[in-house]
Amino acid sequence: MANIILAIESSCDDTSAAICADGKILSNVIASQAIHEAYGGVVPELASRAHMQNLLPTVNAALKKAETELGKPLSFTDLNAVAFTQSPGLIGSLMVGCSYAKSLALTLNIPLIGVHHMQAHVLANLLSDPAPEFPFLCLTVSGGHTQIVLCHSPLNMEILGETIDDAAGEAFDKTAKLIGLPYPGGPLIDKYAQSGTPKFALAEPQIPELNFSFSGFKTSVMYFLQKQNKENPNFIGENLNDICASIQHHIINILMKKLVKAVKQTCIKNVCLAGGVSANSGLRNAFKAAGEKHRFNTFIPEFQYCTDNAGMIAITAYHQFLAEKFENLSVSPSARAEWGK
Amino acid sequence: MTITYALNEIEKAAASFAGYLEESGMKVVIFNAPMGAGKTTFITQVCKVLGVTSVLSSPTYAIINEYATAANGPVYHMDWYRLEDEHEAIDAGVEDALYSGNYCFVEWPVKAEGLLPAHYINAHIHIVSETERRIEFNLS
Repeated sequence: MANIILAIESSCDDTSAAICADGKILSNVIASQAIHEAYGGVVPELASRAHMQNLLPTVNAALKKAETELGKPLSFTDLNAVAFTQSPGLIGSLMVGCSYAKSLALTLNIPLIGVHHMQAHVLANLLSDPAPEFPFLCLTVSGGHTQIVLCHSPLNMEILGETIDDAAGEAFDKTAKLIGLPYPGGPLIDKYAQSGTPKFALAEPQIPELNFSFSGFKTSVMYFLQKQNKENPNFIGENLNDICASIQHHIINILMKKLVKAVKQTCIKNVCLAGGVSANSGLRNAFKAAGEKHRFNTFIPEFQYCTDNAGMIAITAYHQFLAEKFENLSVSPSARAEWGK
Repeated sequence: MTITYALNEIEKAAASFAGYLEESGMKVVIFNAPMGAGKTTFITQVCKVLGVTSVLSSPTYAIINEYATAANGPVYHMDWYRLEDEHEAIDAGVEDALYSGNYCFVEWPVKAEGLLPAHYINAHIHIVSETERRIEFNLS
């Protein structure tokens, strides 16, 4: 029988469980209203209590789905390893997944694998068909992170650049807040931007090397809106689509400039996106266009593997399993772990 | 106390603030200011003065960032913006940070003010102009 791994992701707001067999994802379940309805509960908003309520039903759903995929019964005793997100994330949330994984590893006497969430976002690209060949570059963009990573092999990565303040997703959400959109407003900016033109010039920060900064951009949007509102109190209402298109254009421009710079510096031809913000249609288009213009191959994971999910934890755990990179039962999660230096 | 600073002189302002902080013996500082005033930017500079060696970033999504320092214990940088109430703050582990005896810098404290210790420093950042800020702070 194949090597079967159960992976748990509970680093932030969503609880997720996935089963993978020899590196192939059999199921990737993210706690949703449907699971709660099936078990007669409600979806709590945030944090560890929600994970505690979500975890068991989510794992059961992942096992069931994997059974269907396999076409034969699957129980806990068939597992060859259990993996969990060890860092970074909310400590209370990480603790839930970690404790669960530890108890399962102890009970079943199987290896325990601790996975770095940001490494997993990058390796989510290995789930694409075709998958990028090594080495590849990856731009990871999410609410909490913005990084350019050089991936030499599954377990050997190097951070080439990252944000020194706000993440790209945060820049979307916070500028959305400035124009009065509900939080988190990133997806709404994308929606309105599609009917607008990026006609407003906004200041882009000049940051050395391959690092990013979005805090100053957010402030420049604030000044811009204040100035325009003084002249025309209805400015935002009358120009919403164009404002959103301009914000989106500039955020993507900041990202793409640095990514293209990284491609030129490293001469690497396989380039990936990762993270929740890779759902943004403007970013996807700009990324593909940059690939055509600068002649690099572009890869974007399926949407279910872009946001926080256990599938990416599972594929990373599979490679750690092959390398026998295991944790002992005294391991604890960490809110922040530096890596790739 | 009040410090008015040009944005290109923020390091100097942060150093004065850190000096005040060390003299006061206080460990917890809350920051109230509108979005874009530069809370994260100011805290980042103060952290550098305190010897933080980690990469600093906005804690809005992570709720709590923990930074390592070369000589002292960890420094906690929090943002309670996304929290709904005190229960969520407790779940996120903010009490562990607040009562750890290490420096804690809190953005958007209003979501869980009841969890703050009896004494802390209350700071407000005001936008004076596009290139200037004023920070007011006192013991609470």
